[in-house]
Amino acid sequence: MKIMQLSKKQKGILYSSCFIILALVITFWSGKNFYDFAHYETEFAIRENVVTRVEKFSKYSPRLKGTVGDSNIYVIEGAEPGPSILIIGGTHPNEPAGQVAATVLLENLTVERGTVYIITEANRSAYTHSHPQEASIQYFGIETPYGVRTFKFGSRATNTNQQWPNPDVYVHRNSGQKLSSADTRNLNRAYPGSENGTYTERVAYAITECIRQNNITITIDLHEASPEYQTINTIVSHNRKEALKIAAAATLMMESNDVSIRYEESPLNLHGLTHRELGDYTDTLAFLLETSNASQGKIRGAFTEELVLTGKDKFYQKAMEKGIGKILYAAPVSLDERVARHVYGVYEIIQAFNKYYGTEGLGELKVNGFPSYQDIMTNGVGNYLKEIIK
Amino acid sequence: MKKLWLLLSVIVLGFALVSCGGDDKDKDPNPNGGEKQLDVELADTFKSFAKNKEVYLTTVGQADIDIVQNILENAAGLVEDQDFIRNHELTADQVPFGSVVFLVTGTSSKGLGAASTDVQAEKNRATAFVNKANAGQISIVLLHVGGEARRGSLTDPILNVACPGADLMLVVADGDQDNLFTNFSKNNNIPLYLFSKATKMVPAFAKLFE
Repeated sequence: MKIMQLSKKQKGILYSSCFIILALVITFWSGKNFYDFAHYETEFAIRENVVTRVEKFSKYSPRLKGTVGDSNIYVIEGAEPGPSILIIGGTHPNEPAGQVAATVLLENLTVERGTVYIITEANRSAYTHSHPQEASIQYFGIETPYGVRTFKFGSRATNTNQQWPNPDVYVHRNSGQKLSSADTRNLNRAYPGSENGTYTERVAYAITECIRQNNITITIDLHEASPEYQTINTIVSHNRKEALKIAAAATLMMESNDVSIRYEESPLNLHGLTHRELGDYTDTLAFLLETSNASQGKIRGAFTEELVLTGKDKFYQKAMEKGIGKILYAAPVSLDERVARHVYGVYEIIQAFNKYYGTEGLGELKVNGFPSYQDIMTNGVGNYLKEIIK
Repeated sequence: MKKLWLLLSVIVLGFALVSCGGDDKDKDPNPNGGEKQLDVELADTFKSFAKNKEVYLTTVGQADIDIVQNILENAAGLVEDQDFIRNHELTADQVPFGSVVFLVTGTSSKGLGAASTDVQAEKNRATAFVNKANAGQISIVLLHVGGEARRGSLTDPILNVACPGADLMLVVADGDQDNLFTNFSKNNNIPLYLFSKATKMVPAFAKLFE
């Protein structure tokens, strides 16, 4: 059989076509991957007999209605009225312990007296993409008795699909403070927010209004930071006297139970953060908890699911062994430990509130069902995630 | 020749012993002798040290004052404004003769921001307290409860001026890994008590007000 001879021109067309097809395949694959990730819905177990109602952010910030940012607020009311607490997870979707801890609390707490509000996806838009050039994973799984529960690993910032472009300098609306351009899409630089502001400001406004309209007594925002950040293993407290007293008491109780932690007072001149603005613009006692997350670190190696779950990273390990810089990475901090710290921190803040202020005003906040720090460390956080019933 | 070798050997051995002695002294983790003792009961000389005196609580570094206040209130049953004055911006001029100042050390950049102050201003306040203490007008109980995390370039300049003026130092041991407090204790003859954690200071506080 005679092999067909192609001319130079025909060969050029063939090669070009192959490249174009390959590019289309890669583009389609990338687009589908991005689309699937953006539309993946993380599931949470809502106990029908415990969770009183589910509110939407748009109840407090109407322009969010119908948008990806219209997150849920899960409300658990006790039989008796009393003080209330708001727990915020998922402000920064690249800080997974915050969301997982909020999920554990959502799926385990019961309330005797007072009300618990829980947000698991504070910035849902930021769960629809990941941070450019970080090569981060998109999902991570936690083993539970019912199978693997999948959570998303998103970005620190709102998706540019919802908010674009970034200004050269972000000027915080209420204080006039100038911040970096990237912070314009950072929910934790947008408080107290604005009903008609940017998308991120509208999300912040929803949370601020939820606190203000429900007169929420305590607010705790759950975060993580890179191991070299000075504020890891910390309770940051608004500078209201009652809040500082609670933060100090909770710190001492955690320390006495061998959970190393300290507290910091919220700086007056760093604006847009929960522990500053929610305390200033509402009557809530505002706190922010930080744990150490190696996957956020600047000197980490490959970004893997294992890194998120175990905190083990060979470059941090080497830096620690060689004493390079002020590395606070004393040992790998697993997701179990980071979630255990958050859950225990919330518990001790409530205990301290009850100790000092439980006999006045609205009385005690009685919340049960906290898995202990040791239980989470021993059994793994997956044992405290409930089955998703379709 | 044998005698010369013997003499040389004795000299070399002598130098070696002196060198070893010098190294040991420099590296001694506790110049007061032995392993660092943690959570030790205060000596009886400090019993009632602060009782029936005007007590002031302040911070030079704007950190951890609430931790110490919590211990004061719980260990000694003191009530703010009734039994002690808390003022994070307290100056030496505001403290009358015979008072006891609980001086909380350890610097927080967030705390400095919250108080709209800086390290130099805090250092100046600390110096004024020390001058007053050196003049025999007030007593200082110096506290450092923040461990290693509250040491470093923001904290140490303040410690360098504050520690020599203390009558007593109560310190969480993790903050003394480089023996900074131990050396101040030794060089200035200031009693130093090290604790494994802040909550272990409770009996010491109780004794001061017994």
